Amino acid sequence: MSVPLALLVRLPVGDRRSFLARQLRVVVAVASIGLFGLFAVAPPASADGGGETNEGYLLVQQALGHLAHDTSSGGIDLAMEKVEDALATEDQDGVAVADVEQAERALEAGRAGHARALLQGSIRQALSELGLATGEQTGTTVVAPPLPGREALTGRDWGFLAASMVFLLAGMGLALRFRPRDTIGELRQRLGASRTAVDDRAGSPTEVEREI
Amino acid sequence: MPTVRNEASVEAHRTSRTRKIIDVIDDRLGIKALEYPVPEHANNLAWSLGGVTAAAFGLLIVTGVLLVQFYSPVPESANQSIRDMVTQVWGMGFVRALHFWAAQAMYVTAVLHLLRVFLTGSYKRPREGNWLVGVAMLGLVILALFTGTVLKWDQEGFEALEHNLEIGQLLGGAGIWFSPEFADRLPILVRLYGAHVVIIPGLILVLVTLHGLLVKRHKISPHPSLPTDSSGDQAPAEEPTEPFTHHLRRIGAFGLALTGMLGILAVLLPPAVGPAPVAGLEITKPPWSFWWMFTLENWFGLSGILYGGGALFLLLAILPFVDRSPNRLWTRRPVAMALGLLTLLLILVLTILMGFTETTTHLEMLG
Repeated sequence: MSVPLALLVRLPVGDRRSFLARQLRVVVAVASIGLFGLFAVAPPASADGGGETNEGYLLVQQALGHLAHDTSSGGIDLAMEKVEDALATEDQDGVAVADVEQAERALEAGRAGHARALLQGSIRQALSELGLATGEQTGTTVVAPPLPGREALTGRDWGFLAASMVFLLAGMGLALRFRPRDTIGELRQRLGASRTAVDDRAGSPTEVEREI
Repeated sequence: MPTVRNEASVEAHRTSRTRKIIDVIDDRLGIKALEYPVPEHANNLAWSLGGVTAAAFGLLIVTGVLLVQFYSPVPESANQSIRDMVTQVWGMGFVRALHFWAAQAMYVTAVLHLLRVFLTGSYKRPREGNWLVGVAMLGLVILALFTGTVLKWDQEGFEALEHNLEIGQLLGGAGIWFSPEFADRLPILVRLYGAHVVIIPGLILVLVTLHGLLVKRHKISPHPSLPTDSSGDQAPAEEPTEPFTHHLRRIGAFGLALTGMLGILAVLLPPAVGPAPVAGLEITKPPWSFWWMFTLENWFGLSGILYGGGALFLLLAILPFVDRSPNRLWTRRPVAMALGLLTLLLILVLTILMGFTETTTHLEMLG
């Protein structure tokens, strides 16, 4: 298998290529087996990573998450489920249960904004007891509503817009000015019909190919 | 007439002065080495897409450097720091939006570049190695998109992270870096931030350099509808050439136009910032570039993402070693074209199907 470099250099070009091709195949095969082995000996995926939480403050946060993402009746229903779970769970450490009950009533009345404020306040103590987030912990304390992408255009926005348009037009103008002298069709004509592409002996290229 | 002569003389003087400056710089930095000839067809837009991708990457680095001045990569304040920079720091809303759109542009142009290389058979001998470098860079671009999504630290970003962590578990030992246990005293957000701003762009820079050097080594591949030289893998000597600096010049022009286009998008369609994440929820859809995987996940579970993504990259990696004929014209490569079209159609259909797919829970996280 192993050929000294000096010998390899002396081999004819064809032999050298086939030798290198063989080597490449061996490398690919070894790498594939190695990767397969790595996956094969690795521990299987965890199947018990989670399930329903029974932490009251987290259930309240989940209700807040639903309310922040979806203010429709669907979102309120999902939030309501989480609030009910929070009220039913045994682990209510750091949760002001009275506020959660009040929030439940507010949700029933369709006052999502009021419910959100009550829920956020109800877990203040639980959040104050959390340490700094590690691993995949969220570190979230306040679940604020989304910040919209765009509002009405300001003078600054118009400035950026104008500058961007100048860039676009200048770029397009320069690209046009620096375009190649010949199109592919012209190049084909210049290079002559007598010579044909290596793999184009069956016929002339189509329009699509000319555009490339 | 004297006026015309004077103008010509001034122009000649200016040109000679520019030439002198270039000579002075060349003496010290050897920049004229970039003036090597490239075939004329290389200056077409389709053959400049790699350069346009590099221009988008440059824009990402510039805007990224500005963003890191105001972004806090710790879970407690990451989401709020983005809100603060967008609403309180002059111009940073635009910079963030430009970064977002440049990322989309880099992904799109990288894919278009790959499709052009596939369509024109430019991955064939002796350019197989460079094809693999390109495929690796596409993988890094996708990783950059993923880590960038997580850094927003909103519900969408957090759910992306949770998917990634569980896929890391599916990978077993190979996915150890993606587990929180790898460095359990640190938030994983900090490690992903390091990956996003140092590891991934650093690797892309290394591979871009290698990519460019290999293009220079093997020369620009011949156009499939033009004659080739006797070896069959180079443009013929008769094809007109232009200095590589002209190629760079045109890429610069495309880059300028791209910057303008992305600037317009950044003003008119800036990205929103979602609510800070809550554990145990799975209520968002991923960014559009991952939609096809999202549909697979809905059909086959989390492993669908792993096997779908793995299959795509395996296909890309083995392509030049399976399609070994010297034919470059697409009409002469029916099998490769059919497979390519099938793959593309599959990804498109899966992407469109996402629009009709409800978000359902796949994660094992607390819910």
